[in-house]
Amino acid sequence: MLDVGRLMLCVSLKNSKVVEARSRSTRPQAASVLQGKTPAQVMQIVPLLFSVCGKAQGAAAQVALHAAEGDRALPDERAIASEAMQEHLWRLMLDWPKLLGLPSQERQFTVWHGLLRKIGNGEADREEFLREFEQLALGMPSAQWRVLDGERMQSWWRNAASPLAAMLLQLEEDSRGGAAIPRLLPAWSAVQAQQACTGRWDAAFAASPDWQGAAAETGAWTYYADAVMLRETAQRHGTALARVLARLLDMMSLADGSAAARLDGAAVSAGEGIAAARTARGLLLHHVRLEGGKVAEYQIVAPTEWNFHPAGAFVQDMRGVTVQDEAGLKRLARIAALSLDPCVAYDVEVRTIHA
Amino acid sequence: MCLGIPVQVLEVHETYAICAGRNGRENINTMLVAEVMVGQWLLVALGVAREVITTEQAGQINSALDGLQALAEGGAINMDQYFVDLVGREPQLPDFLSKDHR
Repeated sequence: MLDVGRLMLCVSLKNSKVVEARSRSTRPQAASVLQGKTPAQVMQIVPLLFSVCGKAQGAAAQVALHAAEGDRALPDERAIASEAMQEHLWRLMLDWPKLLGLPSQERQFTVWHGLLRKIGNGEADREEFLREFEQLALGMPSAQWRVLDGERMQSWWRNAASPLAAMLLQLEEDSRGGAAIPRLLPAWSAVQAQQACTGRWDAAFAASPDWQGAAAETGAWTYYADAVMLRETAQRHGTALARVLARLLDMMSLADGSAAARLDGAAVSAGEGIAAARTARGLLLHHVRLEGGKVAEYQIVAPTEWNFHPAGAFVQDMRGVTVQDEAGLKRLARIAALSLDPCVAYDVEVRTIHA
Repeated sequence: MCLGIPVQVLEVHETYAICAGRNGRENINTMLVAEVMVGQWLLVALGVAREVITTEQAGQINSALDGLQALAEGGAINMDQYFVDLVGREPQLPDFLSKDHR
């Protein structure tokens, strides 16, 4: 049986305080199957093999391979923008209500997911989704909502009559208070990624990436690192709420067309290329080196490996937390994990160390 | 980069389908794909069907996954025997789907 990989998240409690948090992954280095393949084969299989964000993976492969061959053209972003919105909706409308014990929004989700698929294929306009979402979920124009500060955003989720606002309110109630801003990985361009990662491209880096020797967090938050609402929300209510709000901010920016470009590519040298893609979960990097028209080396550095690094955002979120009992800690750990949105299945284990 | 697994539809229900794939029989959530039919191949991640795929695509993915599985189990192997150069190859059906068992 093929093991597609799992995350094991383990948190230990002693005297009502978290004394240890660990994150371990059994994900296979799937990019190794690309070794020896032609660019055409890689582009055919990547979107199918990595299907959770298949459009982004496929586009990143295309950009990296073209860059390696000296072609700087970037593909149309419509499909990957729609895919990112679908992933955001999935968390916001299905996963979060389920985790927090709120009513399911499966019906509305399915309708919007289908509409976004059409938008990605060029069969519908994103304005259509934007109008419906503004009306049913925000209760105000996206352009106004996006620039609210922390205090106004809080009063929005406390007062708006939508399941989305109710979900954020529940997260506020679950919050353990404010937190310091984590070390956010910059939303690199391809050239910046190459400068930061040069000489590091190998399987060990792909499995456990770091930036200047330390773990860093990626995600929608890093695309809007300057947004006042996110900084203030983190300082008032903690990182989980800031991350969830960042996803909503990213979705609205994609929906109303104000988001920055999602894809970038750069040639490192003849036959070697890099792609940087802003996916729903965070920065996705592809690095390829071709030799004689075939893949000599291929690395994919995905968001989950940054955020669930052994010293990464999940572990840092849990460290030093005080909580009454195992049940409370389990809920908190699940909230932290989902806010970082791993793209593989995960287990959360909580145990008490008796003094 | 969660991996997608191809499965074939055995039985269609309102919001899910009973499917068979390389990891056995499982119930797959089908709310995101329109009109699921018996015999169709679905690409599944985390228990949810992402899209309907062709038999050829299912074969390509399974072949790449075979390569990955062999790597995980045995270390160095010749990856050329796995992968895409098999358009037209029918994916192997699980026993209970082959003619004799239908």
